[in-house]
Amino acid sequence: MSARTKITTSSGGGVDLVLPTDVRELLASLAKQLAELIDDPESANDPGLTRLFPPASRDDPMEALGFEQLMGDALRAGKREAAAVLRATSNASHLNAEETLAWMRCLNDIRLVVGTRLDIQEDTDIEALFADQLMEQAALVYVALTELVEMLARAADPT
Amino acid sequence: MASAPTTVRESDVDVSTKRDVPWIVIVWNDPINLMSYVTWVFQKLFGFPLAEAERLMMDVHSKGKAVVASGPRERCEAHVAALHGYGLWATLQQDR
Repeated sequence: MSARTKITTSSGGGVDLVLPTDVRELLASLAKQLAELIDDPESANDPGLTRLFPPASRDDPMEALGFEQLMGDALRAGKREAAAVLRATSNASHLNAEETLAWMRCLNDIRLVVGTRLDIQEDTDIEALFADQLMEQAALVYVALTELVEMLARAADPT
Repeated sequence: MASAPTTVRESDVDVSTKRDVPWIVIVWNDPINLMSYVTWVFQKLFGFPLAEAERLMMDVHSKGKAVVASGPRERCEAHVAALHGYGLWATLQQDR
């Protein structure tokens, strides 16, 4: 990302944000798409969505089902809410602690969906994806999100 | 912002012999989540000091998984939900 991007620690667990307008617009749009994906009944088998809501048990389908019944709605609501907070604060130059959390969770979720669709593995050469016309756009978004999540994890205070 | 779900399962029908076996929460390695982000989440959710959070993250990264919590089933389910809320790949199981 450009030198115009800066995320710095702010008092009270929040961060200060310097981000180009086009990046802010992109993030707001991606957050909207994430919320739509979560609410789309037709995307139940989307691998990106499955990655966001993985089975809670590896070897016990009943435990996984029980967990989904118990926690599924609250988890979907939490991710929807984080996306809404990001959209509402996409033009902000300062995020408080709660808004910072929402940005981290939402941007990381988007990154998981995009990365899953790109079939990212430990040894994936991201640069090579830039050469693929079908992948190029998603790969650029993925790299930008990597940088943003990294910057937020460095700037935000987890305590 | 919504906080992590803390609903407690009330109609637990486990037999008593199974009840005594503690449950564990496992975080699995995945190729997408960043090491810095996973470390941050461990600090945030469990209150681990940085060094402990980094040690666990490295266990996940190099061994493929790490046990991050243990205890009663309900508490472990709440931990897994919180971890899923942050996009980490977590499961629970009985520690047999």
